[in-house]
Amino acid sequence: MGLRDPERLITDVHERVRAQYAPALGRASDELTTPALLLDLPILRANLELMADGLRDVPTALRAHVKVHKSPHIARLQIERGATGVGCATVWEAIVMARAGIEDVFVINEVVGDERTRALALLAREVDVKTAVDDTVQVDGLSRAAVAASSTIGILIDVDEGMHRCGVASADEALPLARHIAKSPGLRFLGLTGYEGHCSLEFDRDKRYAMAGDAMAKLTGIAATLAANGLPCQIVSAAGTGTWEVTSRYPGVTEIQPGSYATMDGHHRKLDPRFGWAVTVLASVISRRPDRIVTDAGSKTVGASHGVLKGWDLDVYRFDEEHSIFVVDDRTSLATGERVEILCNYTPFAISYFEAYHVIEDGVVTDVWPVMPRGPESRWLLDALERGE
Amino acid sequence: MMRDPAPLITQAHERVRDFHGSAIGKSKYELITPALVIDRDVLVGNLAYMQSRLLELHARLRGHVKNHKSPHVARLQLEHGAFGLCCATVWEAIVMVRAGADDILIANQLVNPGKRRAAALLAREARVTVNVDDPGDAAGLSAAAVEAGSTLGILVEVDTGMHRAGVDSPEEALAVARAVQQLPNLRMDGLSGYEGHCSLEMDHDARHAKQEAAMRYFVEVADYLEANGVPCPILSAAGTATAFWTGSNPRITELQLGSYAAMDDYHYLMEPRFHKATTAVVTVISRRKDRVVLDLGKKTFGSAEVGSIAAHPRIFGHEDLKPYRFDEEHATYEADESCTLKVGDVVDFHLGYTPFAVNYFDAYHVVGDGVVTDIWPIMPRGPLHGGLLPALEAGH
Repeated sequence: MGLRDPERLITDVHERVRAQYAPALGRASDELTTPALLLDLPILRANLELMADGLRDVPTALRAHVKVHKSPHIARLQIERGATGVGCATVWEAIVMARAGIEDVFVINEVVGDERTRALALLAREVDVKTAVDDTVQVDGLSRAAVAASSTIGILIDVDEGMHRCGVASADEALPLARHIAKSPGLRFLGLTGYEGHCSLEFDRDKRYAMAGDAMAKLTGIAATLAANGLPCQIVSAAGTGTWEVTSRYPGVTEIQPGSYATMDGHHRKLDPRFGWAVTVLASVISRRPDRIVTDAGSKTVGASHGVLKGWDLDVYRFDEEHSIFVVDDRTSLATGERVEILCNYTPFAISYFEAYHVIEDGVVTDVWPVMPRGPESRWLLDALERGE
Repeated sequence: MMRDPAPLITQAHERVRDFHGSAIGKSKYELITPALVIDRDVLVGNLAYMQSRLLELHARLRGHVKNHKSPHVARLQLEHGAFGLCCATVWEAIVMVRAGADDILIANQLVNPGKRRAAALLAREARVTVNVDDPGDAAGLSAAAVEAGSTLGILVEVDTGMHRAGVDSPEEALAVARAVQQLPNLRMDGLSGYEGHCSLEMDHDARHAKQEAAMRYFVEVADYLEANGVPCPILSAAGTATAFWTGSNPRITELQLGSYAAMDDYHYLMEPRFHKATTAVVTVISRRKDRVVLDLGKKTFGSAEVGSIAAHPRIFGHEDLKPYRFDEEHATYEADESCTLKVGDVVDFHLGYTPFAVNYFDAYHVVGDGVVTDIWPIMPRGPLHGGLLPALEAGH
């Protein structure tokens, strides 16, 4: 699969955000209007390189998850550095990534509802589209949509390996579902997907890798049962940034689906500190009191999981909507007006609030990249798809 | 006074109607989910109730907008008793002036040079007031106002117990106020003292006790300034959970509550006289033996905590279901076989804390009797200025 040129949907938005933030171009990051979302491009590139190196000696493919960054530009860099396709959490992300020029998109989520299945089926006329199911209701909806659009959607059965979200719990559940998919028009049964997300909540590496091994034994065991029943799994997809290395080496796993390795955050740095901190939030100290400082980046900026200050060992006092408050004493020199960088505990929440990244190289803003799609509901992307744009 | 909305607002309204307008006339249960829904009748009921209570309160109402970020809701607030608006960011202030408001308090410190410049430029068109707790920040605002040829109103922010920004003592308040008085193009208007810590106290009586202590201190600070020759014509405070108490204090001149309009589960626990106008519509995307999974998560409703208090979102008609986990794009609840929810069901969802959710969406689906009647933009979206600053500098 290759990479086509990005389409107008992407280039127009890129031009718009570049125009909106034009005064920032060429400036040092500490001159920006705050809060701002910073992307250190050399660190990002090094992260992509490290992942490519780590997969050099194994046949496992890399499917880069884009929900983490929601950036057409970063996704393209991931493909250029060896990813065979992208993973998405929503159909809207999938539309954006196809418009960014990516030809293999997998919505690793259950797609339910007429508009969403229609969006996926329309997109499948243009690029290789896959999605996950755990129920015949979803399969039937996708089949109807694909038939109506005269397209084919690739289907992977979602397996619950211990995360307890969506997914079938056993081979007994998977087998009849796979048979149902195999005889559904407009669909192609491709295999299994099973994100071992519960492992990423375990910070002890040995325990985490043991948990991932158990999860993969279950996933590949179900794949073997399906194969023995005449339903071979061409794709067995799993892993996140916390388990990419061990899972990519598990026999029978054909692709891994990490995303956070590109941008990173506090949570994932605890799981794999080899990847560097490429995304931060620039903030200003807007109030200095004897025992605390207040910045202009709160939970409406960094999101639900909050963060810490880069270069300062300060405890969090509280995050309000538009303020983060840190405990200081007389030895902390931070004064009103100073810039600080917030290291987010979980970057995806911050990114979802922003409309653009300020791209930084050697401390200077060199570009402004859009965050797309923004927000949970994106009917306009479906309308654009239906108009053929 | 309210002017007509400017093109910035009407164009954004047209754009979201263009994006989401195919939903108009449909039942809210036919929407692409997750969708943010605002019931106009419930909203107007809340605004009308607040307006009726203003008759007995000493203080005036300055409607806060950070909770809804909607020019349309803000205009309704102004039509229902609010004399002006309150914002958390200067970008909200620009949007609300473009929506037609002529009196804005940015109840926050600006500090950042781009934000000071934006406020100073905006003050050429409307009455703009800003919170300050630092003489250096006041000097920066003064320089920006001199450059823009405008005057900024200043309220010295007093920490009345919330422990965020704000001066810590009457003496510090006096020092900052005197600094403001001596700076050109600033107007020393009084004090700002949002008692937000009271809204983290769920117990009614304990909250009332904290509110009384906070406002007693706030008034003491004002008395000290006036005794030292600094008049404080404006004393601004209160949130939805304390508005009727603080509004009854004869010294408080204006109330800066906002959640009373759109409401959410969190505020409803403290102030059930206002009703939940804003909810979400969501779809069950997976049904397992022991749980249901919905298609919205923390990238939709934001955090499920306010401070350290749980503000757990819940499913209408299934309020007893226990949250199992909230992920980015999923909310998972424990549900045994007695629960009737199945894949494809579209259900209403109580928001725990509306402001976090609003910040993620482009637009509200406005409903009446469950049918979509309009699409209202959410402006501004997110932490960035989104082009508002260059537009202001270009004079539009």
